[in-house]
Amino acid sequence: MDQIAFAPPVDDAALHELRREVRAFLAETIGDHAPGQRIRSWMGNDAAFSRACGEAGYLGMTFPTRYGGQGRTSMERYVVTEEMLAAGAPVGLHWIADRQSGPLLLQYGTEEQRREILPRVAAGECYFCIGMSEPDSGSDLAAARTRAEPVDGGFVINGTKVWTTNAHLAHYMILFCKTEAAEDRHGGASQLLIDLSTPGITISPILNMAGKHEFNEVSFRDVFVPETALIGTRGGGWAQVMGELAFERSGPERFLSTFAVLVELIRHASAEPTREAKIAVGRLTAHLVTMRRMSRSVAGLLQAGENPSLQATIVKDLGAVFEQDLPEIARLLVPRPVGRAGQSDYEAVLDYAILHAPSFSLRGGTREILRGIIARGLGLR
Amino acid sequence: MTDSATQVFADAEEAARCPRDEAAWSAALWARVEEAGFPEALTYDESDGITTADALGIVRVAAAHAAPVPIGETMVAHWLLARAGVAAPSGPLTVGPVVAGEALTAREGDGALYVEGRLSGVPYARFAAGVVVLVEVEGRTLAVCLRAEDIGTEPGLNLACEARDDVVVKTAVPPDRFGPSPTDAAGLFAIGATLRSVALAGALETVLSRTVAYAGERVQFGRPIAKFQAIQHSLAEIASEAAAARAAADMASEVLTGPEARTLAAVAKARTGEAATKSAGLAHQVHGAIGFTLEHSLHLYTQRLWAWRDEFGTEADWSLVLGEAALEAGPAGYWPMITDLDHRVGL
Repeated sequence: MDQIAFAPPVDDAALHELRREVRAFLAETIGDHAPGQRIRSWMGNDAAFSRACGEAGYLGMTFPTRYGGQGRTSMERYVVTEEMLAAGAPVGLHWIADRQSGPLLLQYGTEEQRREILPRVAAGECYFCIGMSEPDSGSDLAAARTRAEPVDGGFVINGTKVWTTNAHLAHYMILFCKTEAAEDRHGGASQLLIDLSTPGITISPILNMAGKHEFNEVSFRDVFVPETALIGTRGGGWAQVMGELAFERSGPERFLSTFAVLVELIRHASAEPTREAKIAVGRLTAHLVTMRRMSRSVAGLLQAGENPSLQATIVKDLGAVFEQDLPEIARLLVPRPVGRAGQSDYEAVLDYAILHAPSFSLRGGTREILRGIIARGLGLR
Repeated sequence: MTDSATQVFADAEEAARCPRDEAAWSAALWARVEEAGFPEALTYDESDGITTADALGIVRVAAAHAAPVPIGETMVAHWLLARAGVAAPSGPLTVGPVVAGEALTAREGDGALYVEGRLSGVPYARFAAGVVVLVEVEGRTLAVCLRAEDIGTEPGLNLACEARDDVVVKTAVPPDRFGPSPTDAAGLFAIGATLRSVALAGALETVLSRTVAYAGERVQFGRPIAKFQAIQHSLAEIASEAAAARAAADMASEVLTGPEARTLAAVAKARTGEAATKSAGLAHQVHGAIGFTLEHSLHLYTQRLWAWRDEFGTEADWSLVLGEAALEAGPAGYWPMITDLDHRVGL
């Protein structure tokens, strides 16, 4: 069962030095943020903060310097993102571009696409969204029907994408669509780089149950894009999008989404620590330390050029359970008064976490899809 | 090292089968363990190219085959004696105290060390050539080698029919059989927790592979039950828990002494214990009634999972240790406390 073994993570003194630098940067930039802001974390948006991250060299860290990047390792990037998330930094605007769209363009994009876009991503000035899910195809991505019809000089796109986080704020979308007919349901798909200011694109808000405008419906009606919009191989979109999901599923954001709740729980439980609270916080700590070990191991494997998609899936599945358990454990240990929703820091983080928790085992692959992937890794499918 | 361990322990499982009121033990298996040089594995240093994690890999493999021998305890006993400058007797060894709060009394006089008292639940004591115990004398922790002839044992068993015996001591130990210990009683207890964590991870690997194999063979409603999504998701959950247990145990096995060792042992024991509970339940569910029989081998592993959760501190005991540290660190110090664990100090 070596497939479930996680190699020891890469670790050295330079990473600890970088960690100290990032902490100093965060103390200076968001040191005054309230817990209610911190809990938003990678759903929090702040253009000035994104630019500051770019100036500090914390974006596009693994991009080569010729594309405006820092030429650093994925472990170094891991340390930076982990510190940002633990501090609840408002990384939402640049998050998708830095995490997956930039790396995708680096791997499959044309030289022109890389030169045009990567330096702006690294500067924290260019935001992306992901066009995967559709009204009739969420978890079943291969059933996506949005079509980009090849025409003279480009493609004409028709279709609708949903649950598109930050489409209303993003400059570009990486669109997963069908470009040709194919026998194989995974065939005939391509990825296109879409400038969201292109005529024919309509972005409509979908408010989540917390009343927040985070995701959108994006419809394409006879949208023309030039053939230079193609990313990678025409018809090879399925393999590309699966590779992209490895970036999407392995990171610390998959278990740190409600970390601010744990910090507030510790703040409140410290006042009069009970045995029950100590055991509960200790148990969560054991989970957190173990998940960090696994997640850092995956980052090390990615850095070594391996494909740890099974391990990444395990981290995401365990991580979602952890993130969802946290607010439930907190509310029983440190109860809050009735009728004062959101009136204190503790309530603000708890309310936000409870209202967003259902999404943690949906976004980036539902729990059911992830467990199916793990089952396949065990040879069951 | 794990390859040679896999060879040595390949057929160990059969020896683990024994009547419910007897302790499983295999002298033949122990002979092979000694021949392979496993007892001394922790006494090598990194310049030999063998890390503590490599050495404890032997314990993981032994547990993956339900081997009825005290390989982990013997390795730790050899390590304690080597650091104390005391020659180790040949044969299986064990360590004590293994229950938090228990201690033997000791005083020095006429060049000898007078040791007296009682320790409970000492692994494999009745089969051991010696018990290495830690005692406090005038503020120093000494590692003492008690030979089999110096002690009395009263047999006891854990849930998996492994010998967990009480040891009664009243003896004078000559000076060549004790020396300064590399760790104190709390440190030894944490090392014990790491041993059990590593073993839990090993047994979980077998529970996973056996359950996956069984689901592929068992046909119901005209197809192998592994084809049912509900079963696949249970197996995925066992795999995730086994992976988490392995990661937690690996981390703890990288460092046996120093301030981080206790914290990592706490993480490992709390996490592997929880993984054991969840996985044993799911594995039995997938196996159906056959897994609940004495005839089937699943219980050799699930009973060990259940027994080992309770030894060297439960999930609650070690979570309490972590929780106290977390609350002491406070809201600002908590995250640095977590990341500081990345600094490692070798054995």
